[in-house]
Amino acid sequence: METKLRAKNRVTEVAGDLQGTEAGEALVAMGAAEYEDITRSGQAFHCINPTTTAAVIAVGTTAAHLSIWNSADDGGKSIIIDAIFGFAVAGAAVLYQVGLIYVLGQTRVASNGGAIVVRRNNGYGATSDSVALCDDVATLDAVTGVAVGWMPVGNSVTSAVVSLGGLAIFERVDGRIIVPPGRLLGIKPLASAVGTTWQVGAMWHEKVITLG
Amino acid sequence: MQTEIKAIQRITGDEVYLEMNQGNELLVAQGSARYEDATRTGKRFSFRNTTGVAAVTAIPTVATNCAFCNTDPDGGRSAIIDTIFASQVGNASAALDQYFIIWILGQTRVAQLTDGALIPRKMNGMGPTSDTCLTIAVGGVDLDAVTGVEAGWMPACSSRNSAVTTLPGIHLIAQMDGLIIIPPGRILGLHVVASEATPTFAMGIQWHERILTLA
Repeated sequence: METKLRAKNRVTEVAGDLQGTEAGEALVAMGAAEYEDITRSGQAFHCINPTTTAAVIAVGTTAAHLSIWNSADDGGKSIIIDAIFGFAVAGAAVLYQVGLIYVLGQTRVASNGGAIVVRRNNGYGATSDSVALCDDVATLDAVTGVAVGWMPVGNSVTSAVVSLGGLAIFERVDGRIIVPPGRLLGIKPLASAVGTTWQVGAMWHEKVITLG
Repeated sequence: MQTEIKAIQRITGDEVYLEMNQGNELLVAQGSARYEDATRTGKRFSFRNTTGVAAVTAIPTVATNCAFCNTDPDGGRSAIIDTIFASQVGNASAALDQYFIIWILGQTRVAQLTDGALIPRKMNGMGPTSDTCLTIAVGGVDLDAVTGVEAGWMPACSSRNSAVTTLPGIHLIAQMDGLIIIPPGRILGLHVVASEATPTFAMGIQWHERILTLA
């Protein structure tokens, strides 16, 4: 049986046939901004680590500026990372370059006990039912925090002046990283020089998904 | 029951089978630009602060470059943020600088700030009047103390460096694509953090509006 797809035109409210290209591709249009419905749902959140902390100059293992632990039971909500960001509060005494790195735990570990306030992306706070526990200047467990697990996220930036703040990195992740129940995500800046201090954070949304 | 899906070819009006790739994924083509339909509706707008405001050198609490208030009652329109931008309009600095945009979104209903009485511009050019739920508070207005807390400010883009001193010309653009929504009664504050406070920026946003069920 052949079926022509029809839908209601949003403007005229008259049903019409789905349009295609000459090559048989369905023509589509965005009805909403990319994150609009996710943000609307109230299941999209953000936070930043409040304590200004020196960037590392080597990858390291368990040290992180921010850790996010998924407190859900197995089978519960996952944390889908939309963006990771950070900014320099103070610069190094020399010109430097810096990037953000992350590590995603691969096995269930104990809670990080995080208590950083998580804010909703749609302004419908001040409470949230997020499953994310976010910990400031965290020490990851030794299973999550291994040198081989730290990966770059986004391009690095370079300073134009010494000693001062004003550098930032904002990288859209768009779901490339998912923190499943019981896992930890660690984030920190990796710089070419000591002395620059940073705060880092993330934006994410949460839902129950079947993980493979 | 099996169903084969057909569509109407836009140019010729002929029926055409929709096709899949080698991995049996439905092939689609973009029929319009990303924001084309939202712009077409006349519900996409742009505001820009006309006053240059000095950047800050540390994360603020209540200070802003400008702020946007959703004046609708509860259950009214939400403002979905598409883009945040900052244009450097002045720079007396004798040193090279680095800059980035920060934003803060209020989490509870608060009193509106003084309306800067700027007219928002429709992104489809069908002005000059507009029916929007946002007002802009300009001139480096302060937020209320509930909205403006240090822990609420987040960066919106990666930083940029200046190439010359004493001259303006830096522009910062942050594509938000709905990552932030201003619900009725809340305020969005914007600012620029820089390595020194001498440069001045005029900031603004592009957004679209609709009634959403917010949770």
